[in-house]
Amino acid sequence: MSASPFSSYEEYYSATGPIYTLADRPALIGILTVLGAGIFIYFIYSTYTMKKGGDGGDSMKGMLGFLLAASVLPLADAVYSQYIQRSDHRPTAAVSQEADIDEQETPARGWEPLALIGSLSIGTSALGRSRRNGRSKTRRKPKRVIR
Amino acid sequence: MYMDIGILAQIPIEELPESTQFLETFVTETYYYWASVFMLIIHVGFLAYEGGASRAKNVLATMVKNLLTLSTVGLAFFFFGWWVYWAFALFPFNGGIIGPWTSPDVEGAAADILPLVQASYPWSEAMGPNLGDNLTGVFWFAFSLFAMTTASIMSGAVIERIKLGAYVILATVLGGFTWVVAAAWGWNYWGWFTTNLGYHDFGCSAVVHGVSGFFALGVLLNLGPRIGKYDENGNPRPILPHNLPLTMVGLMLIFVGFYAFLAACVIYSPGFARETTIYDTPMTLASIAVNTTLALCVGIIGSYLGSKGDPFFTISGGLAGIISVGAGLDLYSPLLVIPIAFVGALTMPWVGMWIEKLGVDDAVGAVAVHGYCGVFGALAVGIMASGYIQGEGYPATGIIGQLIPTLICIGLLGFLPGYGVSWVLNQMGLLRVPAEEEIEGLDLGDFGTPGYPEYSIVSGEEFHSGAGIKTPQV
Repeated sequence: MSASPFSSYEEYYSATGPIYTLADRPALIGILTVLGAGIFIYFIYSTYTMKKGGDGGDSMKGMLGFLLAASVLPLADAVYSQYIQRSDHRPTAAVSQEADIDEQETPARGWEPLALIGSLSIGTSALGRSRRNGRSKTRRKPKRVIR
Repeated sequence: MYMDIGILAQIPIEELPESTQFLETFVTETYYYWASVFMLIIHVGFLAYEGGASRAKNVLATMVKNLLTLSTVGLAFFFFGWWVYWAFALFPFNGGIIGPWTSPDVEGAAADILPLVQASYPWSEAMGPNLGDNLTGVFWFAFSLFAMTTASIMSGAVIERIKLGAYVILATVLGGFTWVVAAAWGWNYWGWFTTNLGYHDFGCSAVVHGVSGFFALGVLLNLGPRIGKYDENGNPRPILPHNLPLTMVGLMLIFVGFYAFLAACVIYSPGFARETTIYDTPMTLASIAVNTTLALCVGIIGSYLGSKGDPFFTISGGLAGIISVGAGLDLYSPLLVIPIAFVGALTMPWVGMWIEKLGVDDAVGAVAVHGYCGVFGALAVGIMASGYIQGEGYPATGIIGQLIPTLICIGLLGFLPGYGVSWVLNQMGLLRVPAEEEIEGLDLGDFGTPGYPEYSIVSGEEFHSGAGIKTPQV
């Protein structure tokens, strides 16, 4: 399996549309979209939890993590809908016989974006928990000396 | 020596039209690419300005916050901001929100917008390397830099006491959504501010600056002033920048970046026979060159006089002047730019000092410079550039057509979301750092290290991380 949507130089050179990797696999593009959004949302969450200095003990971290994870669901729904609509789409110069195979596989792949969201949410919570636990042992503040 | 043009003969004549067509595309692609790169200088400037304006104990946190603005807003704009810009243009008066749920058989303006909406999805083919679309990506780049600018405007106001996470959430809301809705309505060919009311805001006076300034005001009301900003009688005390040269250089960089910002507001596409605004009205890049420069010059003078020589207001005066004429920069006579920019910048320090007396601690004067001057600039078009008709059947520019959208920008899309989101964060205890962390400095609280570990910057703020450096005797 190749990431290129083209099977030959001739096909690549004469392309008139998308030439990016996985252009012929919209389902994977959809999953990567959700993955990217998950990274972004985890970053926002981590700006509260990732402190190297002071105590930073926020009582509402769990609630915030839940709200942020829940906010991904509309995006996942939009991606999923778009993916269903585009499941037979191919770049202009890269339409191949794989289309028939992909169409047969489409219904079975429908769960993938939502499953990814679920795993991201669980992973986010777990990471936050392990960091909090870890930090309580390793947290150190540089000494401040003023004479 | 002369150039041997015989090499051109290597191109078959029948291919010249195609290569010429590509050149048109390449000119557009290149123009927006480099204009956007130069817009990044705005953020270099904000980083330097705010870092210099903070106290030494907060310099690292302040600058990292600016750095994270790029990450946060850039990603937010990629994931949903770009879609919002196209999807909300007709909503609510001329149509619904356009998205994956919209029927391909839709008619009218929605049919014109639908391909642009589809191209704006993060998974769209138009956003990746695509030989059939050289322009969507560079337009996204330019708009994402506009979006980052909105959040950077807010960031300076809240320095030295906001939690990093709270800032990131607020920047996402402002840079990824609220200003984008304002742009969809008032800085978009199909936006209902223009089609229904005749609104004109070439340089985004209200759409960017008004929204951001009043969003910041809403946040500041919940955030509260920095510890020590007011005495026991409620009188404001100055908290001086720890690095004034850095602040000065930062503002100069913002000026440079704003030339690029305004240049990116010019629309040119393959097939165009002239430059236009986003409203498809004619204009020239030369008008940006002359009017922006005059506004910069006069703005500095105005603020110098209005603040009676206060250096901090004076260095913000150039920006105040540009914002005060931004909305009509493509229309104004240079001789009209001078009085408008002068009045806007002259009165800006008064607004800043008035806000400060009310108990609002705006660390860099963002509400006055961007909020007030943004409103001033948008309304000025209604008086000083009235009577321009921007499309068949559209109302002419006028004070009502400027006033109503401006109020929507600063109230519905600026102040209310800023106040609302920050109020929620405050209720959850997620808005402001604890008092002890604020006194100690955010650099230690957020990063566990001071911004200047090797030497003392300010007496009383010495810090040494135990690296064997002797502390001075105080």
